[in-house]
Amino acid sequence: MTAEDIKLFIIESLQDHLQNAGVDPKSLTDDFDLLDSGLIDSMNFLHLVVSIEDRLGIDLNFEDLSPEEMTKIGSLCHHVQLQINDE
Amino acid sequence: MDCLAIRIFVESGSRLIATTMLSFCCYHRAHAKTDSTMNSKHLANGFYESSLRYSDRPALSIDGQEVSYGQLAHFAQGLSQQLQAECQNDDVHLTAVFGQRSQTTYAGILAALFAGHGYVPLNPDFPINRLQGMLERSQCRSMIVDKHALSSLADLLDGGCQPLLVILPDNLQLLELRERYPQHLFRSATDVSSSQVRKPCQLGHTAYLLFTSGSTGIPKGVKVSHENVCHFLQSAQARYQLSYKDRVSQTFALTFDLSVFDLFLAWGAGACICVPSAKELMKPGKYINREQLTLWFSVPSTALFMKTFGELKPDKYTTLHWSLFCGEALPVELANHWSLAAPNSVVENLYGPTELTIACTVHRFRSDDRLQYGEGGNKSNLVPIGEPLPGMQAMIVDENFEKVAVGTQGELMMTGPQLTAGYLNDLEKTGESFIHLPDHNETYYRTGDSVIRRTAKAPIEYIGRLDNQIQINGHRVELGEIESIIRSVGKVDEAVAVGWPQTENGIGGVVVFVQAPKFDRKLIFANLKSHLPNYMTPSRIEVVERFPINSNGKIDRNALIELLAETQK
Repeated sequence: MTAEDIKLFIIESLQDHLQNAGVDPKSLTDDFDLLDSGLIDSMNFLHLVVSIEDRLGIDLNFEDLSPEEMTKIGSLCHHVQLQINDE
Repeated sequence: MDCLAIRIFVESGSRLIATTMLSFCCYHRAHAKTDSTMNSKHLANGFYESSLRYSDRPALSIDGQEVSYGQLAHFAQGLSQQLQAECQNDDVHLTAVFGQRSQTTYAGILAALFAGHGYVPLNPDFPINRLQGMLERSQCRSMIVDKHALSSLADLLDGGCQPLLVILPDNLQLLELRERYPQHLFRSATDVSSSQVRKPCQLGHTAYLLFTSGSTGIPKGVKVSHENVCHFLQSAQARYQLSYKDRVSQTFALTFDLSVFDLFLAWGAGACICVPSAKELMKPGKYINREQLTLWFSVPSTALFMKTFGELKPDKYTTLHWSLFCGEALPVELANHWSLAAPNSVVENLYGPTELTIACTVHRFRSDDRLQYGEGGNKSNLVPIGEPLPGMQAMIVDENFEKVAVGTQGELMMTGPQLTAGYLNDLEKTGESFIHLPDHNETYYRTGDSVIRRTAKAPIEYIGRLDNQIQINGHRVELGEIESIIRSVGKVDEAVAVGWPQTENGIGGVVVFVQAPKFDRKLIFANLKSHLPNYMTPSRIEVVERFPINSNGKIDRNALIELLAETQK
């Protein structure tokens, strides 16, 4: 699974939020911050992470990722991809 | 006797003797040199005392810098003098503090209290309509605004509120505001004359006013008196024995009454409150260690975040002496993970609605609680809510307000010195929840929580809600409030909100069902933003042909939840 596939999965998972906020999925660049943008809150983010884990069937470890980087689409996808490779 | 020895002593079970020991050897020692202010009950007295005794020690750690008691007291005193100079009439009133997690906000809260006012926290993240309603209904006549709230200030004032004294310590550009809103009086920090810190004005009765979700669509105001809150703080200090060496987390939003614990328990003991940023709060592991926190207090959801993000590993947080949770149900396994991650800390589960002032029962978690309350049989898998705090009384009753037998489920009713006086200007709602029981002299508060005491000596266990209230990330949410707003902004006859998804420790969000062939989804979501805070905004709206009905002829919410669960599969 590439970082791009992970991004597509995130967009699919957040479809309702994007639609409700009127955000075009194409506008989601790598430095788009899911929380700072107000698109989702911390609780939604938690569910997103859990759904990524369910989809991939692995336990993600975010220990080394800073809270600031974790919620940016680019670094989130990159981090998830690294862990898939490690599996 | 040091604090650790006392903790072990308390844990050994000799509660009465231990409490007596605590009150003599620690509480009195800590307050040995106090003057008469300690006798009068006022929320800011503890801070005032600490500002004299620990002037150079840190009171606040925020944005990477520490603010000493002396500095914070001085800042608060300046703001307080402005409040007092401009609000000279004698009748006591309330001051809104519009801001969050900033030095100005913390000083603003203290300033209001120093001036003898109660404070009303207004969260800039809340929708403007909601804030306007709170400002109007509280009848505040003054407001302190921090930098986070500056951009929303004009929208708030455009609501046409009562004439206000508005103090903006972080803004020097007042000319435009003065021209645009001539009915209000604006002051900046430069208007503050520095002077000696004075004892808090003891005039007012109300310490703070908070709003909780209301089923009719309008948040309910709860006024908490100095007596209420000082009683709680005294019990909490006797239990937790904080000192000037402690470093206390400040995780709760200021609109959430658990923040009063963070601020005033710490400040009363000369301890430092440590304020993580919103993002650090989601993944606070590094923060706990960097700041060397000794007391952690949060909603269980934060622990769940940490577990999910791989931050609850054994022996990670060795500086913590106390780990406290409140605001939501605490799963046994989560408590166990936490106690392994913070091996030197005592883990406690607190419980209490705003109406009963911060927290009114507590249970100390022990590893054998896993066997007692963990998964299996009819066990709840939740840490019990425990026993009432000193002075508070609990009663478990059936629907006729008759006491139930031990081992029978019932509604938890509570009374005691932490019981507040009822809802702001709402006799009807007050009458529904603050009940005078036959054969009892005291008024009891109906918590709406279903609980059980399995044996006479067993702690009280939380079972669930009796109504349509849910907790999301510690926030109390009346589903009726969401439904009422959807009906009005969506122009639909009926809307049913359910808590979804269901998580390990409760509810993660809200989904709304409507039974309307046509409705404008975009219009609803565009309008919801100005009525509901993010955590109450539904993640989606589902259309059903017909609402399922249960045997009582009511809309079957459980069937709707099952529908969501099936769709997820």
